[in-house]
Amino acid sequence: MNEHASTTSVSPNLPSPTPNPQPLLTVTDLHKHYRIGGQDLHVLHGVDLNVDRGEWVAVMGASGSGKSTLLHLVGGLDRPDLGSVRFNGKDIFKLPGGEIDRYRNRQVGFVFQSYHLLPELTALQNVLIGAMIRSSIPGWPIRRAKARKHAIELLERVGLADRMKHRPSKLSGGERQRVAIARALVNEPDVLLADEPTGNLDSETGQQIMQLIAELHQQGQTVVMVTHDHDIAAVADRSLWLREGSLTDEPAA
Amino acid sequence: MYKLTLILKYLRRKLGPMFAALAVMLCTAMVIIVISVMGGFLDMLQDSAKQLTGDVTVSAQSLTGFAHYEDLSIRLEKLDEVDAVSPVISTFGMVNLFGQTIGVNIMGIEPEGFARIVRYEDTLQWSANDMFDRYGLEPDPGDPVPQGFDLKRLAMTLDPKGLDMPGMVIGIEVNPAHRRDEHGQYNFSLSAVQSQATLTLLPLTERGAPANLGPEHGKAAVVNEFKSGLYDIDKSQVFVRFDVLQEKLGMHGQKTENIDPETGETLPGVSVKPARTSELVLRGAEKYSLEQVHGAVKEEVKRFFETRPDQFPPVVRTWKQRHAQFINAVKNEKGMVTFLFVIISIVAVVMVATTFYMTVLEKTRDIGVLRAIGASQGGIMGLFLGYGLAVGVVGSLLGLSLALGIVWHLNEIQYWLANHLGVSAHYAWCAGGGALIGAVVGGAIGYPRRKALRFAVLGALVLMLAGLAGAWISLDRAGDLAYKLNHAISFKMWDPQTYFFDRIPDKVKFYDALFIVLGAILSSVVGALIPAVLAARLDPVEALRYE
Repeated sequence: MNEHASTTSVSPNLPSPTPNPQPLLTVTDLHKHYRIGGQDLHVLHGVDLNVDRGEWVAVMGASGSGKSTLLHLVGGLDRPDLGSVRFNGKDIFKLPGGEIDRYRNRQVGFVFQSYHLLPELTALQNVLIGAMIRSSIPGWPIRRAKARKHAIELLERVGLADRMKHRPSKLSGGERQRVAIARALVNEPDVLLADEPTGNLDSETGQQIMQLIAELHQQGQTVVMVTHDHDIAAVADRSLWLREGSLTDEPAA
Repeated sequence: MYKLTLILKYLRRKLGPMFAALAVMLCTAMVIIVISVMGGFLDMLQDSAKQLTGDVTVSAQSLTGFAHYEDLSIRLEKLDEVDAVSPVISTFGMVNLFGQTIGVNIMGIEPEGFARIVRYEDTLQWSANDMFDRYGLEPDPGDPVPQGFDLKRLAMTLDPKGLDMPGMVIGIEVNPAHRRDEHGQYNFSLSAVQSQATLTLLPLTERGAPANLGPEHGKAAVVNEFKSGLYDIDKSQVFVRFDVLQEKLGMHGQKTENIDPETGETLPGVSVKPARTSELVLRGAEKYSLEQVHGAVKEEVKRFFETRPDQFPPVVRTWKQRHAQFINAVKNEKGMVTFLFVIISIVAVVMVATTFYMTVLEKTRDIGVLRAIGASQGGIMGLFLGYGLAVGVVGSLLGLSLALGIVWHLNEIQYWLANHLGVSAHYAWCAGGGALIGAVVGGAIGYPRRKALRFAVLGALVLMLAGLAGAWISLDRAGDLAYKLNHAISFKMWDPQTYFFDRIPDKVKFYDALFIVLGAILSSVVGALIPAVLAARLDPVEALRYE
């Protein structure tokens, strides 16, 4: 496991990697199947996974192996057929109504391969949108200044201080992904869930993004990333392979 | 908070919702205009009807009228529900004015008592100033209203000064010389004031038989003209003094010798024929409703005639009942037209639904993103419902503004369409033709697009100025270009010379407008409902994969 840098000087808001006997995320016997074209496609066959706080886990696998499905289930975006995802010991699929939305908003931050920025909003507004979802209209005037300051800090941190008022259409692929990462971090999530974050980027830009994620990890950010790139997976603390619906720590032969 | 931010962004940056707002705007404006104009007609009709009738009338069912009306008046005036009572005789006759004879409804009124019940004075058309203007007179500061010139006062007394004949106020269309101009106005120079007319009446006995061998003739001087606004009334009604008409019709109280009908012998004593009237008009006390006044009067009239079994009791009706056939016809028209336009307005709901459905499809991936970063299903639904609400608010407020602009200026618009459309179209054609010629010439010379555009503007200006000059020089000269153009190209949506009323109603009622605006907003939200539900129910994973 990597050594974690002190978080106080760079990002006082990020969680510090304190020792915790209980894993941050516990995935147990996760099953998921899809029915496509009249045929059942069993994507996940009893996946088990533990992720500790501050850990960087890379999940590898071929296209269509179910990596993104696993990430969506861990992020509470999809529901499993069987099994559980426990966050700090609580099964996220048994949370009372609305709590799973709050989980997605506050505990996890998604970064997608295709960035998925909202085209009508500027870079700063795209980052702020997560904070806006967290706040009600009456509460926003109180939170606005703090949230805005935080979003500006995040954009500065990802190297986009001079791109805040640009819309996504005026940004390069790498810049869009940096905005997406800043958006994922705006509510200071416990886990960053990255779905092939360099998949749409050239190798140089991809490396810059990986460097950014590595920095975040060094500052204590827990990261679960799916990728099919061995070089990228090598940077992670731990690499796992999703093969025939199950996770293994054995690389492909 | 994100909902508000996204709604404001979508409103400004998306063309579809702008079209939806445009549809809401047009439908809102359409319904407000229709309801205002039709409601305005109804109000004008009701005002005019009430203006001539009072709150409640006690009317004889026969032209012979009913007797003992003085006693009945006294008893009715004692009722709390009644403020004022005045007798009116209504009969048919003929008026010969300027050699033209027309059939009229002649009303005998006690002018001052009648004015306490209806707004008779307000209907009088001409004032002393009209007389001054006509004869170029200046009011004398010592006696600002010379004798014989105070038309309103003369009409109120129905007593022409210096003439040995009764006065008469005629409906403005009774005067055969009067025609409304294109603005719906009458000209005093054609008024019949101070003209003499001959009235022809048919007196009846109390049993309904002709009282004389022939009709009764009499001269009367026109002291003013009145305009109720209702064409049917204005072309067929004249007012004379009650006592004059009562005497001419033989309806006044008479004492005659007492003759035995079987033997023809004169008996001792005298026979008294009580005075008769056609009806009593009443004004109700303000604190009572029309129905309460009607009920109290009806009860009193019933009691009064119970002790007089030989009399056929008169009918008690409110002004609404009396004019029900007329008013209800317009009410029905208003209801029908409003219903049809509300049906047409459902187009706006469908338009909003279609636009929002397309927006949901277009925004599917964004919906997935929002769900991924924590938006709930309810939040997504609220986003699209709020979007519908915003489109409704913007569209309906724009529609309200458009409707107010049109309704408040409807008479000017109709006047422009009827009288200036030709020249305006001429200018537009000149400008358009000039622009086309300029653009073609610019293009033919080989100028690039921007320079050719300048040619187009120049061409439009040159031809429009030429057209302006041509039309200006010939303006208002019959037979010239402007005159011919305006007569050849015109749209008369309303002819003030021929309808009941001389103006299109141009008032918008606050509550009508409020309900329509709220209805439009609600319709937009309803239109957005199904797309909002579909958006909320999207599977976020599928939404993220949507291409």
